Amino acid sequence: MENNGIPSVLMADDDEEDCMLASDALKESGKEVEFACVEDGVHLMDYLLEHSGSWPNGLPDLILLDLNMPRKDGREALLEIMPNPVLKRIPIVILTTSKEERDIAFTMNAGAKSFITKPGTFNEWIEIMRSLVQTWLK
Amino acid sequence: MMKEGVKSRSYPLMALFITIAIGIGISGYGYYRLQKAHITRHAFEELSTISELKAHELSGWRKERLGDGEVIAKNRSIADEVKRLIADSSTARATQSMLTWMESLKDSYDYHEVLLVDPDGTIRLPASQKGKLEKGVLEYLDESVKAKAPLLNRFYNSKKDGAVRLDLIAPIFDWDSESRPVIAFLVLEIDPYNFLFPFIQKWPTPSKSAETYLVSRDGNEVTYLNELRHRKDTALKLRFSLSSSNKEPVAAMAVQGKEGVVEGIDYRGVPVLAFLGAIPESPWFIVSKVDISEAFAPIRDSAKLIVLMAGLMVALAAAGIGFFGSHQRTQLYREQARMLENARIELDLKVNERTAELLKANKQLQDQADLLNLAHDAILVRSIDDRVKFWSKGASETYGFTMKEAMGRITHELLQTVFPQPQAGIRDQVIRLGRWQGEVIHTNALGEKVIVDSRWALQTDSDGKPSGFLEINRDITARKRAEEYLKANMERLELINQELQEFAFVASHDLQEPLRKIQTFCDLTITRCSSSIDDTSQEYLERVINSALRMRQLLDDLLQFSRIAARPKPFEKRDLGLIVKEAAQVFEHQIKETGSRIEIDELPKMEVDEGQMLRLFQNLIGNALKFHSDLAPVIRVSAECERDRYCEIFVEDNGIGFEQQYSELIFRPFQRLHGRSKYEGTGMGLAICRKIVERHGGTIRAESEPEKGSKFIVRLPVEHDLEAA
Repeated sequence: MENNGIPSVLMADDDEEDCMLASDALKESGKEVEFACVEDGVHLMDYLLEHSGSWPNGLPDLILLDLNMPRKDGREALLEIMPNPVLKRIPIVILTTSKEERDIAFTMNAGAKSFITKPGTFNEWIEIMRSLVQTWLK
Repeated sequence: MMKEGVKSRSYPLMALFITIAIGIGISGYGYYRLQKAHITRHAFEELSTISELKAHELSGWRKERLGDGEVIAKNRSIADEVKRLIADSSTARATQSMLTWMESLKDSYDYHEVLLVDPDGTIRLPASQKGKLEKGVLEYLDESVKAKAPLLNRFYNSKKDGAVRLDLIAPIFDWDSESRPVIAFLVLEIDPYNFLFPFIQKWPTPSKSAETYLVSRDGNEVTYLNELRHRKDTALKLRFSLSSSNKEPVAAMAVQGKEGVVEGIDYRGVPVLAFLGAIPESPWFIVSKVDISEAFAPIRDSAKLIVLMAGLMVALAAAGIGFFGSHQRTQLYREQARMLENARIELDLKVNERTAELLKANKQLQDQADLLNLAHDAILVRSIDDRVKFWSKGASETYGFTMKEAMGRITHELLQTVFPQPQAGIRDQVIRLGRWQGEVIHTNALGEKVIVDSRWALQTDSDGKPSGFLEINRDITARKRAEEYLKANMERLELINQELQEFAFVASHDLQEPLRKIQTFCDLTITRCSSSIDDTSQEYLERVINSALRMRQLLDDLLQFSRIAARPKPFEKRDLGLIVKEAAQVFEHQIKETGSRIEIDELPKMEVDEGQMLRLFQNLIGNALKFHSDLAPVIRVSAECERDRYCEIFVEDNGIGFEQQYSELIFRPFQRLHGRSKYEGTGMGLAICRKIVERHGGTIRAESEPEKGSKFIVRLPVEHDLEAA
């Protein structure tokens, strides 16, 4: 949550286009939400850890986590976030191309709140964002 | 058998013999007793006869002597002569005639000496004997006077010459006087040795020990009067006192008045049979005795004879019985010899029979050995201490050692056996359970390693004790190598598969990405830019989207297909009915909309990969719903099982069906029977079904007719061996 009271969403995904789709879909969701995208797990952790001291300031209200990223993928990042007493309070939703059972199981066990496979149509993107906003950004 | 027969026959014989022997013994003894009594009586009789005879004779002799005396005493003319002599002793003529007469007395009556003696004992005539009478005579003169009769004195030792003397004392009376006094004595000396002693001692019958002697009693002493047979110089010299010893000689008994036959001991202490008697009117006792040993010698002889006779008889009896027995035995032997001969003949026959049998058996064994030698496998027989007793041809071929080389060797040394578990443990197991099987590494004659499947069996002897081992080894070296090769290959294959798997996954995933983008951005264009694109553009974009979607589906299917065999989950027993129901549930919405009906019969429990079964039935049911006819789809799932080994599951529909000629084609990947526009689908569904079914070790086939619906038959094993996975 930023100081200005507007909820923020932080997305970690190495795919620019998906970041763009997510951002656009979020805009269509109806709520004013701040959105940022980092390209890999390293950047994600850096940012989170940097701001973890000023909780809740500077920290996002929702993290959208892709699993397959270079340098540090989502699975690793998840495992680093969860033990952290401050960071673990942030709801994490996995947003990935994977449909694998094992990924679902892993992330749910690790503490992710939801697992969403990236949709094929834009309408679906909007639906997803709306639902996420409703669930996690109230 | 022979000995028994003889024994049983000899018992009664023995009994008979014993009886006879006892009989002989008893009668022998009886006879002996008889003989003894007889002999004893005879001895007694002889003794008594002889003794009485002697006694009688002695008594007679005394009487004679006394008679002699009487004659002299009563001879008046002699008396006158004597008187005259006494009156005038110097008359030579009277003296001479007296002497002559005395001399004649000596000669006629056999006296040793005749003496004319004064009453006081002085010797008158012969002149050579002048002197006093000896004491032994003297003391009797008074007695003769008293008795007025002649008498005999007792034996005495003459002082003159030491000899034993006996005298007859005849008184000479004065007949002219009324009182008839004794005027002189005539003493006639008797030399007992002349007649008396010899007479006494003489024994009428030949005897070694018999004798007679006289004894007399002087106070408490007993004197032997004559010479004894068994001791010299005893006359009047041997004497003993009566109370001296506890064992008195028979002489003592005699002097104490015992008469008749007695048994006792003599002066030597030797047991004797004696006849005792008193010589009447004399101090003499007569003892006739004979050694008991002599007296009863006949008894002993008799006894010996009896024993000899008895012995002889017994011997005879024994011989007789023995002979009889021997005869019997001979009979028995003969009989038994005969039996033996029969038995021998029988035995011969049997032996021949048995030999024939043995030869036959041997031939059989040989044939069996030959058979064993036909086998390729190495067949060994080992003794209990692991030495080779049989080495088949197969063994020679397998190991390269000839039978000669192998026989007697310790197998695990010969073959340098490497056992899969400690050898002692294997041995124990075989001995305990009778069997063992395992893979063992041997080294052949060339030094090469041979892997064998070795099966051992325990040999036991008739008592059930272990006696050896039968070992049958199959050379599996080639197989093992093949197995290893296969294993290596399979591992490689697995690796490749896994790599392929990962590749497929990654490929699929990475290929999916751009497709998704195509899909999404086309979609975005359509939705966001609808105002600036015309319908045609929109249509074209939609086609792009469809293509992208199809490719994504294809990639998914491909990924699924590639996964079916590669990522094996272990089979678990599952209720197929539940799986099919779950599969149908996916189509719940569709079923409701189309008014379809799915009937699911009782389905068996089978060992399956649940996820794959789900996929299988989803595909089948999906197809059945997809390829429906004008009728509302009715799908029936049923099963038939044979003997709990295999089950066939039927998925029937009333859809459009297809031509039976395509029933195999439809299972090929990417195969479609209809155009894409009519029925969607990638053509992978049934290929996936077949892959799944094949992985389960089963088969899938289809039966159909156009317009008549389709029937898919899935045949699966109920259970899987461990190897199938």
